Amino acid sequence: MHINFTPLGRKVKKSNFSHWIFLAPCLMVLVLSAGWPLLRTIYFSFTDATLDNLKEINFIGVENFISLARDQDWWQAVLNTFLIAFVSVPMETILGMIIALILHRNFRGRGLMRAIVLIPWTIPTIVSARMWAWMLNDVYGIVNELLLRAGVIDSPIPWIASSSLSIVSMILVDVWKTTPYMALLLLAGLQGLPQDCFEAAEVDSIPFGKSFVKIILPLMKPTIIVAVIFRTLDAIRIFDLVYILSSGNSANATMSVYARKHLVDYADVGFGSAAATALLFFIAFLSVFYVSFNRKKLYNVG
Amino acid sequence: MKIYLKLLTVFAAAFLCFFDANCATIKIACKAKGREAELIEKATKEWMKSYKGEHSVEIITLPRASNECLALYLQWLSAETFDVDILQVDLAWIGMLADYLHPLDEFLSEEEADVSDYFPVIKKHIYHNGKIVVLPWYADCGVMYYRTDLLQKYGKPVPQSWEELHEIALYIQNEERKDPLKRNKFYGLGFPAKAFEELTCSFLELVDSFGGAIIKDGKVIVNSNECVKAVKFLVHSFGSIINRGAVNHSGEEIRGLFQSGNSVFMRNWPYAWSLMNEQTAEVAGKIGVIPIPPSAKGGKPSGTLGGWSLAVSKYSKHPHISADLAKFMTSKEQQRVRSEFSYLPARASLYRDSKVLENNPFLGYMYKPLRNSVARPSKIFGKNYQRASTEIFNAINTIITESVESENFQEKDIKKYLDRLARKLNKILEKTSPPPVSKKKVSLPKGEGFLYRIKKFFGLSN
Repeated sequence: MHINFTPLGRKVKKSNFSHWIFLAPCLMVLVLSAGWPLLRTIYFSFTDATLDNLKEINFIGVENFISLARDQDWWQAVLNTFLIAFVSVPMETILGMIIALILHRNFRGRGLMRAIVLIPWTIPTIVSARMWAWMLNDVYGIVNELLLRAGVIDSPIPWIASSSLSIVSMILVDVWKTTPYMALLLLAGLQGLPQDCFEAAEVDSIPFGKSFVKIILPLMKPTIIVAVIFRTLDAIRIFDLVYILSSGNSANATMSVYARKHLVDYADVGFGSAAATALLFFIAFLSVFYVSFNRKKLYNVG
Repeated sequence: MKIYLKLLTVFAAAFLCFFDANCATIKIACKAKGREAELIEKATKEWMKSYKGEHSVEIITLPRASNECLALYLQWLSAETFDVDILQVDLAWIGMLADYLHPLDEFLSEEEADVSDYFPVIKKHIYHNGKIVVLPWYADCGVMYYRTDLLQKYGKPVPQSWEELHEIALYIQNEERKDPLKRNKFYGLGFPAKAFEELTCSFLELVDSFGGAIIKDGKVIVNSNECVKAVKFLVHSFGSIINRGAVNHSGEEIRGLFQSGNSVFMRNWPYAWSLMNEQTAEVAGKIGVIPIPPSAKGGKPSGTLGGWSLAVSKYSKHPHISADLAKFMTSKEQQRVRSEFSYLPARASLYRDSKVLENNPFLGYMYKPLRNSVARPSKIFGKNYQRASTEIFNAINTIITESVESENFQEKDIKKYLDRLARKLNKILEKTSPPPVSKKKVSLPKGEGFLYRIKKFFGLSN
């Protein structure tokens, strides 16, 4: 039972029930928009459903998952996904932190600067991916043109065509796109920190490097952890960037691209759902791991 | 003001329609973008006029990539939607979509049902279970474009074979690259090798021109000597006359290369012709087109057929009126109008009409490629065609990527990759044939429903 105080200091009893009534519409929407499709996908993953036959379906047990585990392309996709996620997220965090620290200072035009920094994040991914695909084109892309003119390279580089470079390009574009988001989250965290610590540090004339390591980082830990969890889970679902930038070869696919191919292109709803469910499993596993690993730290500081 | 009037008439028409069961809004899904959108709009307006505005037409624009259109169709049709009446269908999809398409024989007069005028490869693809299910709209066929001015400048003939093409392309490439501005950008041949349907098409015609095939008489022969030779040639070309980046280029990107004057030859579809001859294009008036050449002089030229047609959805509420619109859009007159914008007629007689040819010499160039065109193995793979096509373009894309990047790549590896591809295609073929009859659900015996399901779920019951 919750006990709240009115401004006059009187005790008000609230039933446990009323908040459920207020939450109900929101929960309904969540269940209908997220829960139902999710359950349906999991259900389909144990069947032989196809896109043209969603009604008369047979249960086939874990057969879909067995063939998924045997598929080399799937494991390649898993590897690609984690490579992208685990390289791009740390880079975004570090760059985001630097940008957040700069934007946290008082300087003229700070508001404008904050707006400008957000631009990559506000462009829809499909659009920015297309844009980058043109810029990275090996023959008439502007990136090669500039590098050639500057004399850095002497023959054009196939940025998104070579199998090793294309994953590097995808990571770079992802970093370009998502760093502003990271910066925004971290900036919000920075602004919530108690100012007195900084003032004290200033009075004691502690160098910035030391105050960053000793004051800012420990205080920012909860924010950083939450931001990293958010981004990692987001990065594992990466789809549009890969779909547009990669050559379409299965060797460059990520998990969600793989799932889409089977679900939609091959019309194999059962198997595609199994892949989607496996992706869900990875995300669930990671978030449980993250949360339980960080729970103590989160509570201690935050 | 004008827009209000327009809206008013639309509402009035909708209001009247509500009471009049005879009038309908026909929704047509087609690749209506840019120039094509104008053509389609004009045609549908003409059709509406012929009915004095009794019926109206709504155009639904499809995605650019054709495999995405197919995915969209499968979603629509499996949901039994009546939001779409007419579909623009690739002839290679008939095997996958036929169950959803309305048979059209009942709407066709004897004259209209006469298919003898269509190209033979197209003719083969319009039937399902002996009934006409699609009306051919325009033909598409892989062709080789070349720069007439560059061949003239270096005194080279129009190539008669792949071998000759390679030689000419390499020579001109080396000469043109002496210009410092073109040093890093000029290539002999533009070839779309992105892992998409288009690569299956360009691979198929290459193999065909080398005398091979992917499937022959129901047997997968993609690892035959002819195919190995064809792939060897492709790999060799990637080392010399094709840009490395082409591994991630579709036809549109390749058109950018050719249109900006940076290659001598280009493999593409006919639609590119009218776009590249627009006044603003750098290469306007300097282009010629030939069929995909044979491997050696005197062989059979080739080109993958990619014809488009119109079909009526089984779930359409107005199949009769929809069929009428589809008939109008695919009529000989409409095909003639579209041919001026390099959408090739599916009817052979238009290519012999001297009046048409006078206005549009391009049709004259295209007759030969179309006669020699080769169809994708979509009928054999039926519902699994997309899967087979993916295996094919994946394998070819991988071979090219490996050959360009890995130093250990040897020519004998090509055979290994093609053997693996053949095994995969055979597996898909096994799955496909006998052609899947609509699956009947095995109804669960009563009384043991839940337990039976759980057991079956874990694979404990048979």
